[in-house]
Amino acid sequence: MDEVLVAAQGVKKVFRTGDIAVEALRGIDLEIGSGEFMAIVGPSGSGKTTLLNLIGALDVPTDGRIVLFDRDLGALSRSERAELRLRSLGFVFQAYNLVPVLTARENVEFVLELQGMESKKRRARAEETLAELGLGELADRRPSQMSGGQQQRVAVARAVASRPGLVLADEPTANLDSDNAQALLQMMRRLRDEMGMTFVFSTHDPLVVSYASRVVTLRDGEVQSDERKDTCG
Amino acid sequence: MAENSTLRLAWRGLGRNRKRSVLAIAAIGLGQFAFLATAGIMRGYADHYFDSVTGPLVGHVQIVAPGWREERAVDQTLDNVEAMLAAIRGQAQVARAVPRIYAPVLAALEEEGFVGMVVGADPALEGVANGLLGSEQLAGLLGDGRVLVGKGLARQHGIEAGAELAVVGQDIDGSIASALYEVAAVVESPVELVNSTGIVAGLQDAQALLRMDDEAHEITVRLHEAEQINQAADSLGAQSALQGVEIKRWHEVIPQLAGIIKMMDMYSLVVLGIVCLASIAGIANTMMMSTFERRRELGMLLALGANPGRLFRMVATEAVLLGALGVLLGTVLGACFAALTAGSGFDLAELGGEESFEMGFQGVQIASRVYPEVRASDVLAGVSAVLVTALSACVWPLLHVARLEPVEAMRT
Ligand SMILES: Nc1ncnc2c1ncn2[C@@H]1O[C@H](COP(=O)(O)OP(=O)(O)O)[C@@H](O)[C@H]1O
Ligand SMILES: [Mg+2]
Repeated sequence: MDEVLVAAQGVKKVFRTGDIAVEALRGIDLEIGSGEFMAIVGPSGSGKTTLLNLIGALDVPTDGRIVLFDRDLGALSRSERAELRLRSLGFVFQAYNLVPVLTARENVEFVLELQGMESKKRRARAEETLAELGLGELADRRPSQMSGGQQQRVAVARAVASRPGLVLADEPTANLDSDNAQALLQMMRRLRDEMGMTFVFSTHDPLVVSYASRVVTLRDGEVQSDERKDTCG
Repeated sequence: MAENSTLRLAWRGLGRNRKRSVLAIAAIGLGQFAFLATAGIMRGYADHYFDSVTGPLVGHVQIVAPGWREERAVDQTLDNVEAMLAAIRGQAQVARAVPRIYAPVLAALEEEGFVGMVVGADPALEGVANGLLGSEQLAGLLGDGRVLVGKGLARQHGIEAGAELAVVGQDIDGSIASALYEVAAVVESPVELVNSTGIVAGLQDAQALLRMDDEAHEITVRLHEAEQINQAADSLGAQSALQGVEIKRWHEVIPQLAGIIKMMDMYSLVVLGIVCLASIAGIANTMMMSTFERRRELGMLLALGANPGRLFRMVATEAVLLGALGVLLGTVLGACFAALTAGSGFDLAELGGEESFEMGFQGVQIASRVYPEVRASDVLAGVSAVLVTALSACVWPLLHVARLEPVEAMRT
């Protein structure tokens, strides 16, 4: 692990609904370095999504500090956090990643457009990214014309097209069968191996975990274990 | 930022629920069409009323002796009519000036007596399009004791061409006036008053009957442009030949017509209001439902880092596009309506399954057939109303987007 991309210190998150307070995270200390391929595992409700949302600057901790790309997220305004997500992060969600009325290529282009990339350049970049990931023949299809596995692969293409410093994926394979889940992980893994991209993903699928170079296990909002698997690194 | 996907997204967004979009577009289109058609018909009617009332009978400006309008006494005459006519015709805005005389008489055909109205008219001036007779041939028959009798009056009393008609009335000095006229023809005038009671005589015959000199009861003035009326009335009032007389504008002579024309404009505005309601309902409903359905997608875009302003523009563009398509549809329908009715007019009676009708108003005939006049300004009014409405109809969806928390929107 060389450069540190994410540093979380004593991160707590409490959700309040009426009188009930749920302690989703109870003090997380974690560092994520450049080039990692890290899985966050743990049973449902253990805090995986909450942690990914905090790292991804989508939410703010109740207590503690998160530094992302040397910037203290607590010091950023809402719009500064949005700008940071747009410029430096890639996201793959469990579902509903794509705009249904846009084709695969247009979906990829849309994020590049949001970033302000000029029209010709973004089209070329979108086509190039889809081709590199073996998704060239899906370019002109809309999400409704693709399988779930294809949609998630296009979502990865969308997430990496702008070459973000960190890609966060919250249960990206939850809706996929094991063949598609493996194909998606292989694709992400290849991006990490060949281009040095950093991935953090959550899952509770043991098969998917086997691709990870580091596995952080959460239980009841705390880090239960943090293992590095040198065989895969 | 190069936002060339905004329009494409809006366009495809409308395709997400085609039925709903088509319904909204149809509602707005129907509204715009209804507005254009109503405004066109109302304007066609207003213009028709205006032309048929001011044309042959009232004119744009009337010059009369003080009090004549109210009392209509035979002796309330204009003096020095020739000089007045010369002064009036010297005005650049004036197209024509016509002197007329009106005298109620008792007429007798053999034994039968009835009431009529001798209308003294200048044969040289009344044969043209906006004249009392509207036919040069008829006007040429007037004079030297020959008169024309209105169709209705003739039918009622069995008067035919060649008959002899004795008339008795009162001259300007209050003495008995009488004459024996020869009926040259039975006429159908554009003026209802002439048809039902008129015995049209040459101006000089009428002057002789009433023992007038260079006198008449009114001078009817028609302008080149009806809009120049105030300016024209003012400069006529400044003429020395026209001192001590009343100079009345058409809307002072027939305020009812002015009221009807104003009411028709109001009516078009009411329909415009309905257009706005139709588009508010159509657009607001569509946009509300579609932003709500797209909660997750909008949340996902916010999560990726899209700025809320960008999402606002997406929603607003879609709303405006919806309104614009509706208004385009309505305008095309309106243009078809205008093109179809341009030549032949449009018979309102057909709408109610009735026979065409004509009705009298202020002594002028008015038909159920109308020539709609759709103007570019109506289209513009409809377009701006719908666009303003479209933008206000997105306020609620925009508030919804503004309150959207990406994490919240994507949960569940
Ligand atoms: N917005 C929220 N409001 C209330 N409780 C929440 C909210 N988000 C998460 N939680 C709670 O926090 C805990 C952790 O949730 P989450 O991070 O989604 O777990 P995981 O992703 O591991 O299933 C759960 O008990 C969940 O119910
Ligand atoms: Mg989760």
